[in-house]
Amino acid sequence: MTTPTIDLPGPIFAKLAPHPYQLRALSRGARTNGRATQEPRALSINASPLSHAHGSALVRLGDTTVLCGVRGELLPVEQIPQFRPLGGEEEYLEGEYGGAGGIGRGELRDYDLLVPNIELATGSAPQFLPGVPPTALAQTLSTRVYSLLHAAGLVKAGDLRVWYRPGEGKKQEDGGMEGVEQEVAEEDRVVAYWVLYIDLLFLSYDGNPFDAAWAAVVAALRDTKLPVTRWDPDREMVVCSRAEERKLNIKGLPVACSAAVFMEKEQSEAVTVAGDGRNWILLDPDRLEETLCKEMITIVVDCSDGETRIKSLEKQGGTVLGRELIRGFVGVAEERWAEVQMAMK
Amino acid sequence: MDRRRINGPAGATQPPVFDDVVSQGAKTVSGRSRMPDASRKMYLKTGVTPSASGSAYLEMETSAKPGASGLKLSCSVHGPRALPRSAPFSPHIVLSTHIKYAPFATKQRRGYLRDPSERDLGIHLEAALRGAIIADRWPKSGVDIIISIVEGDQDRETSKSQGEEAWDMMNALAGCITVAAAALADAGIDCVDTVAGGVAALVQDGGADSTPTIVVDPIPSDHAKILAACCIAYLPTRDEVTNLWFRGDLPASDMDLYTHLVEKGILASRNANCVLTNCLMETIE
Amino acid sequence: MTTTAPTLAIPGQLLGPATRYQPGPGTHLHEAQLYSSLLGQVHTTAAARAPGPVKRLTKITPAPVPAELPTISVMPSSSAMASGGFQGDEGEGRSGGAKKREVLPEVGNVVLARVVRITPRQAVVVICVCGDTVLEAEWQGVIRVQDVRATEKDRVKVYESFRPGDIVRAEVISLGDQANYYLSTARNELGVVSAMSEAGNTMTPVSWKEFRDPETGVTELRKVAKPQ
Repeated sequence: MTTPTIDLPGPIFAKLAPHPYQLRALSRGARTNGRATQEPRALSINASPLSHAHGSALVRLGDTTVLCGVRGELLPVEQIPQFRPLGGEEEYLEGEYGGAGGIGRGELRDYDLLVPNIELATGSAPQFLPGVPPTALAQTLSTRVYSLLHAAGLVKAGDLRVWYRPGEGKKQEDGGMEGVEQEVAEEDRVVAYWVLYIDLLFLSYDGNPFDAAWAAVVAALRDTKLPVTRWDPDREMVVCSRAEERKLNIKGLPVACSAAVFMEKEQSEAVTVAGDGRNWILLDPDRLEETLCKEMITIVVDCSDGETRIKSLEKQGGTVLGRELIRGFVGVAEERWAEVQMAMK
Repeated sequence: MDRRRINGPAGATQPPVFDDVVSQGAKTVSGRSRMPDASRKMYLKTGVTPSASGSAYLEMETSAKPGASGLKLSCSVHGPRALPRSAPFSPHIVLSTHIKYAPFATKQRRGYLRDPSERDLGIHLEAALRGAIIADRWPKSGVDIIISIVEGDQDRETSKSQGEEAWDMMNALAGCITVAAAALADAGIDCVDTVAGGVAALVQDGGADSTPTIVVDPIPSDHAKILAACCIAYLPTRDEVTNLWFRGDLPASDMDLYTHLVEKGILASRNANCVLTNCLMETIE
Repeated sequence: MTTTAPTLAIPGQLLGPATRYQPGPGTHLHEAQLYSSLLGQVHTTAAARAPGPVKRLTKITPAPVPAELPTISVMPSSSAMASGGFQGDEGEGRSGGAKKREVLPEVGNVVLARVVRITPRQAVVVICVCGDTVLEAEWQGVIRVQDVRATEKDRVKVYESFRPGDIVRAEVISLGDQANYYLSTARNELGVVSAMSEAGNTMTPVSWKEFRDPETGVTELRKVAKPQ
């Protein structure tokens, strides 16, 4: 056993030799933070804490706190370099086969309508001070949220389209002005798109940023209401109604569930043979545990249809998590899904 | 173009334009519902960021007007810690302050890079705190004070059209000073006193010919016109002003008016100090 | 002004006149009165000052008072439970419980440090524990080759005394330059207290200059701290 040769009080032992300290705790059946290996921290979700955003959520996962604000801005189609106009037929098709694989997915990605960014440099932890470019972790997290947003198909492109329907207004306004009839009847067309800026600010960081950030994104999108729009042909611009707003139709409830693998041997380079030494899978790792573990797994599941769908599976480093363990981990993720669903309400 | 962030579409996006924008041009004055010497209610709490050496959260009462939100500030203090190896020897603690509006803090989305007004706020905060910290207790060390303005005071859009950003910034600064003082105390960094921020303004509520009055903790939308304002950082036991920021237009002949304004600014900061003191006492009782 | 000192104090709070108390840590002197400079509990200790650097001794211009006066000090309370942000909703308690206030290493303090790199002239370390206080910040220190041992100083080789990763018990001998504290291990009870072998095993000390890997049996040279 790797115990230091001197007898040290707990906190000093923890500081000098965090790995052996964690190992000793795990051998006795609990982590140094007092949790069981498969025990996540309590999660709380507050919807609409912000008043200037179109949708927002505050998520607290233990001592990790993240705030998400969703704001819509308009992108006129003239501003889109490779814009392909949509016909009325295509709109119909999207309604029919929408969601995963539908045409809508193409628009979201091609026109880059979802813009998530994660800011850690708020002093959320000692290693995240402002005044420097985003850290590698912040960039990775933003990219992961970005990919998952597109992959999970949460947002429907149809919700972000701004239509001009010349037919609608005219019918009421002028019953029979002959001169107008001469003009070529204009077809319904998309004049602009809503771009959703999804900004995430970590107020406090204590590990497992992805699970917290993703829960905040989903909660904030579910909270998002965009103003009802119309095209003003005289001013040639999109005008929003202050009185009327419409909720986004968010599809499903994908929940991220992360864990880290703690190895008995600290120097994994020397010991790469699987099965050598014990290991523990730590669900919802905190800041200290993240630094002690080299292997991480994140699984995103959605059980809202009654059956479990795996939306994403990411694993970094290590060789412990094989097929069997990952299969077992899906069960853990299902339990987490139910807890997050409760917190969303 | 910032390659380290996700920038969104290449084309420029526009914030929504509302159909009632024309009528909004005329400023609607809601009128002040508080007494001239009364500050808004403030909520303050320490220890919100456990991984920091010290932290605090401040929230100003949300005004009754829908759409206008109160100030929400989150402050974390890191240190005392070792200075970067490149830094020269310092016999005292080196203070570094950083104030940033969150992208969703205001009506218009804010960028991730600090703009000049945010840098300005940081400099004022540094001056306000420098007078309170006993810097030579911590040689060779540095302390970082970081404030995220989670939500700005006021309706930013109204402010822009009225050119009243400066007044909003003063309110924000006053809050920043108070929340930073709480976080510093939480971090256990020696201070001579608890510094708190307060704002007083000279306002003209009825027409151009009416007599201006002085109010504390002004909300720009409450008043037809703000002539001048000052933000004061004040140490109550020392009876000392560590930072004074004045903006506006006062006749030089009328020094009394200026002195009055500063006195009311001190009163506003005393109001804030009561909240600060109560909050700190609660944490140790 | 005959009131007794308060039991709790916030920065700037009056503790009493300088004619009655001596200023201790967490206090400051202003116009012949003593004030708190921290948030915490007020302690008064009788005249005889506690020996040894229990906590950081604060450098205060000594007040011209007789030495018999009790010392008044303010100790930060183990921080109250955190529960964060947004008014009115329930937060989680601060895990890990009491948070200790940061202290600065001072001359004479015995510290525990981790060796980060070695050169022929010195070992660069990060100070982790000062006295019995675990430090949050990473203060850098150096053990120069002439400060490793008390005897035969000219025969000391840094690489035969320390290796990166070792935990060393050392004494602060100078505040040093802008970046480093200067440390010394030139006493029997100072030196390496914990070391890993090249094979990655924790070793046990076998003599004043050697550790042994219990698995491989290989010994490595170190400046070994005499077990206490």
